[in-house]
Amino acid sequence: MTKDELVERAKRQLNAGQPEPRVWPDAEIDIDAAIMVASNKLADEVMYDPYERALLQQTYSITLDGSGQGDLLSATGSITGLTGEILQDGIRSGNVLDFDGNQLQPLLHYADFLKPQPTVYAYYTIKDRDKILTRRIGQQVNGVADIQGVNGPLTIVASYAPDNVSSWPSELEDRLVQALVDTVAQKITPANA
Amino acid sequence: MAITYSKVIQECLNILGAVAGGTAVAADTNYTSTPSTGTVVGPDFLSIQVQDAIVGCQGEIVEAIASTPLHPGRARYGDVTSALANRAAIPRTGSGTAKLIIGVPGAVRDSSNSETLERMPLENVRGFNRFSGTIYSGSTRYWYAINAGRIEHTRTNVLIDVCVFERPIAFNGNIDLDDEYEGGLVQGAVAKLALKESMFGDLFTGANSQWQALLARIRNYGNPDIFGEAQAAPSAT
Repeated sequence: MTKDELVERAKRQLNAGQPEPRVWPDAEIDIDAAIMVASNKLADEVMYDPYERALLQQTYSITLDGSGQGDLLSATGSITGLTGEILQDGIRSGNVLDFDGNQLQPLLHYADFLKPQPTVYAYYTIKDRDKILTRRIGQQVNGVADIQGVNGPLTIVASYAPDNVSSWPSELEDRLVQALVDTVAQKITPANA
Repeated sequence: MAITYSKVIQECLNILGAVAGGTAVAADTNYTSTPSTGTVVGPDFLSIQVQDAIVGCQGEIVEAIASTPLHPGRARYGDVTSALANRAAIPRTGSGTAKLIIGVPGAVRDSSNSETLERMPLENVRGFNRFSGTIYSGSTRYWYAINAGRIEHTRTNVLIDVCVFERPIAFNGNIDLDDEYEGGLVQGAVAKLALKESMFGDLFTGANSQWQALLARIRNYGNPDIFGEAQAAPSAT
């Protein structure tokens, strides 16, 4: 589905059955501008839905620097071929593997990343907006000086919010149309309704 | 078929009682001749004066057609502008004939594929162009707005279908009007000339009412309730 087709579908759904004068044919630009909101909203919903999550997951290969850190937003998606689409929440519901095949466990707080943790796991955390930090398996950590990164590159399966309408899987196109309709229709709902 | 200047001039002169001839045969000969100073009574209504009145009415009829977006007669005076980039000034002349543009614009078309553009509020056109590489990237829109003599649009170049007209310079042939306007053209010219004679008050009233009715009929083609729901061409947004 192209962006034009999405706008057309949403417009026709909004327009159907409306009495004259019909306002939606003149609202293409408004509908168009609401795509990003609807797209991100639906991508979030899909990410939290275990039955549909896989439809918006793709693999990212992330190079690590000498300290075991990588840049999430510069990673290119294996399906869309675009950067910057990765949803950071979606990494936790996906999977992170190092070069040696070890699965890294998420630590939500950077403070936990610096604390002692069971050494049977490797770990990662996200810091400074888009940096993924890694901590290798079998390494006892009592402070920041003890941290050693894993061997890169990382292979991450993560949820993403498609940047282009054409990147949406066909299975979710109907929901994208509905999300867009809901988004723009909400604009004309009276605040006290 | 076509209507000629000579024929319409003679029809006007006949209504004004200005065809010379003391007998029926002489009057008939003068009426069917090419009008000249020798075929009219004069000096009030000469053929050249009638000709000018006819040309004046011709211009008014063409202007009424060109100002009526849905009128089918627009094609007769049709031309197209040169290719216009976004924010280009709308030219005063058509590109094909170099004649002056009159009336309201017709369809606005993409110059590369002839797809017609849709009229939109100026704010929409500007918003789309301002963010065409970001918010609206990947969207294809055929929109335009006309603002203070300039056209703003969302394509690379557009053409505007227009009507053109300039006063004719040759009067020995056909009048560039459809045949149906012959009667109205005569009444219009008579109405303009009858004012010269105070005794033609009733004639003026009758001719002028028919003339105004003709112009009203032409402009009525602009009524979408009667002649369809095509989008009226814009004046200014």
